[in-house]
Amino acid sequence: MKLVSLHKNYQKLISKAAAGNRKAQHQIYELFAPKMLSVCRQYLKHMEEAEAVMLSGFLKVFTRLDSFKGEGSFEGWIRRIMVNESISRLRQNKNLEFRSEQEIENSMDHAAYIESAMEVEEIQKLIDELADGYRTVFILYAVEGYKHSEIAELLNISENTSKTQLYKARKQLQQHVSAQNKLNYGTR
Amino acid sequence: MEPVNFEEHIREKLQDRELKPSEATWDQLSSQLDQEMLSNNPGWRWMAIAASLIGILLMITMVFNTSEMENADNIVEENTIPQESSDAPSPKLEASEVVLATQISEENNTKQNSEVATTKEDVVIEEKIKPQQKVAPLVEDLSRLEEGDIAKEDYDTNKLKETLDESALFMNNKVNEVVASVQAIQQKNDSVTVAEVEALLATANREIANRRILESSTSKIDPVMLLSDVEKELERSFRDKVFKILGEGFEQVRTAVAERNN
Repeated sequence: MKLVSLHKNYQKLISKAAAGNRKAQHQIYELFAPKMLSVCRQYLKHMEEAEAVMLSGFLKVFTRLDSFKGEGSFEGWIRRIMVNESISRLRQNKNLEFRSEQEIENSMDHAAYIESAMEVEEIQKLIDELADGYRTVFILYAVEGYKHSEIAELLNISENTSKTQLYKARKQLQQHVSAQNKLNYGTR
Repeated sequence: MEPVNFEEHIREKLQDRELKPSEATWDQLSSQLDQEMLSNNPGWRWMAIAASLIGILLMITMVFNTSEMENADNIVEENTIPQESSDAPSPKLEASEVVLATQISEENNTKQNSEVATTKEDVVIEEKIKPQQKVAPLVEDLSRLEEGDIAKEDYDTNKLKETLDESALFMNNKVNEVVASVQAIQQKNDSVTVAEVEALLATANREIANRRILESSTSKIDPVMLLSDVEKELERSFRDKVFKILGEGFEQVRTAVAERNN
């Protein structure tokens, strides 16, 4: 019942915002801006840049609100817009390069394990150390839940390239985590 | 402690994370939305065009009304002139009626008319006579025709009929009526007072004057009156159109402002 009422409230809010009601638009912004800023921050190293991308993302949200047909969650729809905007910004900065590395054949998805939970700031720091290409594929796969086929279409690369990039990202993260553990605990 | 799946751990932490945007972010977004709305939404553009059109129409209406008032004054002044001129012939008409009455009655009537002529009232009437150049020849022609002195082939009857228009015929009829009324009064009372004759003449004169003003049977149309009627119609329709547009434009602007503030 609570879910239904929440959905109905969103619908009303969305209708008003689509009609240009500034109050409704502000409400939507207040509801989703903190989470969407976090999404943008995953792809972009600097907070100012992440904010700018979030703004352009919300501009697209409000100007294209008519295209949201109610299929799927509204938050998921906004999130996809934010991901696309972040990737576009990386492309503009010419940081999103996928070098033609030797593709890892028969690569297997190995999940890495760590000894103890990390704080979110530490995680963000580890991710920031990755190259833009590795980081983007890793976030899309591991955090957003995209399949390799979807990543390939989004980034205009092959599925194998996507898999290779993920492998490289994981490897690098493991190395960083090991180095961190060694520093903290004296173990690998 | 059980090892933690690194990727699952990252997913949990990052998906639930929220970062607070800076204060000015919404203001920036709001201004960008305003710009987007103005550039993309043709409705707002049309609102601006409609508002400017309303202002132009108001100015035109004001200018048009002031010029119409000046023209109306001119029209009124012009109309007074013919009315004044229509009053002028009335003394002449009165005199011509009297001339016709006396001359026709002298030629056609019996001793009763002569008795009327010998009374004081006739003396008074005769004193009022001022022969008119225009009417006298007509009367002479009539009398000569009636006597038969002039052969018909000597006169162009069509020309005479053209000159003797409907108003002259009407006048003639009125004169006969006056004469008949005078005769009736005399028969009844053995004498006719000056006042009674003057009253009869005044009534006949009034009727002739009214007929001249109306000009209904002569098919004459006053062009000035017709033009003023047409202009009034045009002004009325244009004014109605302007008020209608103003009303619609005001409604649209009011609705847009109300929605914008919501």
